[in-house]
Amino acid sequence: MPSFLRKRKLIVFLTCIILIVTLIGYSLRSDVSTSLPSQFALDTIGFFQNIIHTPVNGFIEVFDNVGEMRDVYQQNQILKEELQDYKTLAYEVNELQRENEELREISQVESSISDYQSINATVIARSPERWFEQVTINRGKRHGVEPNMAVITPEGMVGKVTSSSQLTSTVQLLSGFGVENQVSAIVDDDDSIFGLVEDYDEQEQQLIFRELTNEEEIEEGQAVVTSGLGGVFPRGLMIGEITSVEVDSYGLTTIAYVEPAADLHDVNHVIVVDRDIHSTEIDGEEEGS
Amino acid sequence: MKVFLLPLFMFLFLVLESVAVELIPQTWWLSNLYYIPHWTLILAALMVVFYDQEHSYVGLLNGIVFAFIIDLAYTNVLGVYLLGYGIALYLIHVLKRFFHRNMLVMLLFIVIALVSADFIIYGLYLVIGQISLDLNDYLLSRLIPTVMINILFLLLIYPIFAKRFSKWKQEIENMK
Repeated sequence: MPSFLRKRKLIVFLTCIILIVTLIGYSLRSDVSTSLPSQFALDTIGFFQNIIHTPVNGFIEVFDNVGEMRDVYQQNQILKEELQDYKTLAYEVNELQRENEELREISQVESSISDYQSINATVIARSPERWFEQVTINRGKRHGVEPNMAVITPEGMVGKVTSSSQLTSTVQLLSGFGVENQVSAIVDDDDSIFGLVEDYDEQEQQLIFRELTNEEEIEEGQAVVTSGLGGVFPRGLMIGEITSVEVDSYGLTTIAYVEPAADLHDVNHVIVVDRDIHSTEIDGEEEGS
Repeated sequence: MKVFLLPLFMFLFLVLESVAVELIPQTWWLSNLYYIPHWTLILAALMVVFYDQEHSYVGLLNGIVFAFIIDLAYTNVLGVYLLGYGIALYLIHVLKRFFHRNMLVMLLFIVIALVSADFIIYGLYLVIGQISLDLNDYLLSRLIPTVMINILFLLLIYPIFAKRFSKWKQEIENMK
């Protein structure tokens, strides 16, 4: 009897291993779309996350606010001064916008790849295991969020939507970007410098931007923005600022380390970006790949 | 009927886990350390030790089911947590025969479970190429903070759950 028991345990163990290997293999397929049961699970969990997150976050925000009170007076003074500049700036922007629209009408271009609709969302949870750096937001398909849309904060880009269920969606943060989701980007001052943001250096906590044009003109301090040529993200979303430039290990291309503009550790309120022009073939495929 | 309360607790911790990670402030001197809450694993381990009898697998089953939900909800790859939590809990199931059931032994069990589970998860991700992190970096920046923070959590919930689970176990044994 004991030997039989032992044999049965062995068989159970082996079957488990086989099952798990199959599962891992299954989920590593590149074209995984969110299935109905997993959407259901995500929505259920998201619902409860929302319930818990709202009061706790409110509580924490009260403390933050009290802390901020002390700086308010000083900030107010500075802001008042800056406001004067903004007024003139806003006027100029209006003027330019109108001019831009007129010019577009003349040249009969209806919309460009920089135009987008925005959907506001709140981060309700972060994936507790920190390998993939995903967060959950409280907007889903019902609100118009689809996979592959870019997600930004006012400071800059934070990531992209990987999957969306009816009421919630999962966002891959830039700090978890790997080979599967590269972002095609340009250096802000100079359109000819084109490249890919292709990896994240965990030690330096910086993004790696590989330059593909071989112009060798990138410098520290330049801003890196999305190019819009990957087909999904609009043009001109701020990614970050270049902090150092190196030649890659093969000596063929230049890579630049980019400090993300947005704070990826503390993401609270985000904007999901829905580009106006959808490129039909590329919709649904990975950005830039 | 207490059996049906257990998954409820598990679910509560599953949700709390993710919300807590989002709300824990990341100050600059901690931003290089990653502490991953394995609260569902801890609760399942408490079940295995205090609730399960010699040949029942309630804790193990709960742990496995919720590991799968974690895979589904929080990661890109299915089956990794399943294996990690499964093996860790089975280890405890085997080991619990040789020890008395008290706080110190529970601490030992949790450390074993955490290290084995987290290490399996790291190993699997490394093998399938999802991550590339040096073993040394992993130990220093992830494993040790993770074990610390989870031990702290165990100390918090031990008084609440240990007695309750043993009481429920008594009730089941009395019914027979």
